[in-house]
Amino acid sequence: MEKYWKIFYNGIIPGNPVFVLLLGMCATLGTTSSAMNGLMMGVATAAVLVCSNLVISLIKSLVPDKVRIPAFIVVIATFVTVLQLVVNAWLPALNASLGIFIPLIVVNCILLGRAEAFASKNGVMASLIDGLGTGIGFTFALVLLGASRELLGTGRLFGALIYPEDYGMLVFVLAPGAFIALGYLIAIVNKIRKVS
Amino acid sequence: MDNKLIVSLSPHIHTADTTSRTMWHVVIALIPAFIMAVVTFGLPALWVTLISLGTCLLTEWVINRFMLHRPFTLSNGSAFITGLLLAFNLPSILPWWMVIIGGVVAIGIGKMSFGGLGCNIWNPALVGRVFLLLSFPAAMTTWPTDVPSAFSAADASADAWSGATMLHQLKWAGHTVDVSEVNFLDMTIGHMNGSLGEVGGIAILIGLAYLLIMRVVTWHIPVSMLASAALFSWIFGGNPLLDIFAGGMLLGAAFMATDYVTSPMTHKGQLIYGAMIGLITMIIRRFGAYPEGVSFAILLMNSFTPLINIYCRPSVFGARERKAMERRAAQ
Amino acid sequence: MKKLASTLPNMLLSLGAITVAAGALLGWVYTVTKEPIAHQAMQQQVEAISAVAPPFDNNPEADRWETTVDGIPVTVYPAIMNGHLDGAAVKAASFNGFAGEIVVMCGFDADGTVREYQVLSQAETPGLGSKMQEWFRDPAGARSVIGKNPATTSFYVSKDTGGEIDAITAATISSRAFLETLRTAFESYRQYASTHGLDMATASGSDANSGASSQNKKTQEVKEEKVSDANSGASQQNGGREGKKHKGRENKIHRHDNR
Repeated sequence: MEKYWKIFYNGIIPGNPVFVLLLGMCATLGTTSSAMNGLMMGVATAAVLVCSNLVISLIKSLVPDKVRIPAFIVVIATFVTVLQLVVNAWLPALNASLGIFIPLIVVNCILLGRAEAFASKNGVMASLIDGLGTGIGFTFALVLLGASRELLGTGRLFGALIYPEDYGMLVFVLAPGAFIALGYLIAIVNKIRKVS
Repeated sequence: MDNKLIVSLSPHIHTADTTSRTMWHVVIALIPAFIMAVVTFGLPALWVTLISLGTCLLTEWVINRFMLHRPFTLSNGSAFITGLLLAFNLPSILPWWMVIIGGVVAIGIGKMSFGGLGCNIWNPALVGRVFLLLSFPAAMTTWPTDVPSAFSAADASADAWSGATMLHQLKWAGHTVDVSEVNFLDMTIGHMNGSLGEVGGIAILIGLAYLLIMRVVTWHIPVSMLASAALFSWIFGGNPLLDIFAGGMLLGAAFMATDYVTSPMTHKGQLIYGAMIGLITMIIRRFGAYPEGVSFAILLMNSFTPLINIYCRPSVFGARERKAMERRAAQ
Repeated sequence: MKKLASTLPNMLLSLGAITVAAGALLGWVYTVTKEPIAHQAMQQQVEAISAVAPPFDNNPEADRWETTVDGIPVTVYPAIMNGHLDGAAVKAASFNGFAGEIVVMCGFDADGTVREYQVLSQAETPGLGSKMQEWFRDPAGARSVIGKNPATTSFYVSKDTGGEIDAITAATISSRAFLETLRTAFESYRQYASTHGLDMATASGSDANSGASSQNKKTQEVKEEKVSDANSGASQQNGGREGKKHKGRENKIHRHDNR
């Protein structure tokens, strides 16, 4: 049990995919123009991550070493396609705000990274928990970045107006601001990790 | 005899130049342009400058003292210059709190985040300016309405176009460049609209002359930049004189591109650097999305400075003589 | 964890099995979601039309009329109530936006007055061109296009000669593209009304109306010709000037800020 908690916690802070591993930057920077978008992207990615980790861990002994990468990618792509079909059918709001970033989850390095580093080498339960932990860590990072960008850029937080929009620094809604915000968040997280 | 043997690394002979000396020369060179700005825009220009100065100095002091725990560096004048140059890149009617944000970003993000003086890759004043431009695009492109833009044509001062600069009008109004429509005297003296430092004209050139005389800058960057800009302006079908005096071209050539930290070290490198800035500016002005491209061009070339420095290394002392000797021996 | 040896038959079998299983899963999910997806798309379309068009009792999607104006595909969704044409929702686009394509669904009354509009897609600068969804319905100044008729009001930005609509501050290109979209929409609606207005009559009530409405259309067309001459004069002027200076940069991406 202790072991599972460690695996879970690893994905959230010490091995946070965005702030520590610096994986999945494209999705991180592209979908965090608002906190809600970041949350939705994080949840979508976490869902796929849990499923793919689970399945890859189940079939790991059936996959010869030389074809493991294509095999993992097929699994990941399948789940992403299922997600996309489900979103198109029943969650149009997600479709509207995330758009092209849903299919891009396939190339999010976090999924292949966890599959390669963990799921292909560990038990089913452990892989499931790792997927869950990493997914939650990713979502947490995305929400944090999205909230910062939304608050600084438009004066809103999850759509609620905190201060007048005219005072918002629009650069944070655009790409340059995303990089700047992410850079400083990583610096802050590093400082906290060093101190703690 | 009382000679002490002093053990230290070269160089052993120093001139009287120090960082602060150089910086204060630049401040003096900026005074004519500052006077022009105040004459053209009045008291708001003074306010913007003071707020910018205060913010930059305060930001540097606070970061040095409380975050980096380093010795006091304000007296080397670099924060002062960043404050001045940032102000010169802003419209005089910019709201005060935006100026403050610009100052904090220029020093905090543009300079101190990289490690302080000498460590930054990009010109801090331009970082602040472009940050403001992207953050508050409407406010950063609104100039005082009571200052004409140097187009003497009747519709240039019509209501729809008041508060615009010449480049702005050229880009959006589809205005043909009819030489007779532009009041060149106004343009060179600086009786036109724009940011504080854009209306200097001759005043900036006087400042540049001062810097050249005091050997703070060499001719390589300003000349290569302006020559390249004029050349490409002519190639792309514009009026070279207009392109040199309009917008931030002179300010950029004299003060922003020549910043020691962010420009190449060798003369050869500087020529390449200046020429590329001129080219990129003209491309942005003619084909790009913005009416004015100097700040983007300079920032882009700042990114290339390390690369230019690798390829244009200063020659080792004596290396050229040795090569010449080898060539003679081989003959 | 024993891994299978990487022999050719093993690799083939393994990958083959995985892809077959994946295919089966996807196939099943596809069939399950096919209908809901089609329903969603239809739903969105209907919502977009209802939001802008006058009340109707027909199926605008089924009655839609597609045409091309200057190479831009336009779709007219007629709004028919009790057998006569009460107006339409027109989906038009412009490629001259700051960042490319702008698609607008514009609702017109029978006489061509703009009722409402929805910006369906745009990629303009946030805080500038992206304000077009709210700006052009703002009653302040001359910003709003609601309640104005392109036949009588010049749908050009006030900076252009003869223009009567205020552009978004510091977002002239986006504003011009938006108004161009509305003009395209109106033009298509006019074409539709003149070719279909009489055809859609089914009841006698509409015969009486059609007599009146064809008269209206005639005066409208005469008015429009006069105004569109003025407009084309203005646009030629602008086009001429811009052509001289900018040599056909119309379709390039522009930004609104200085420097």
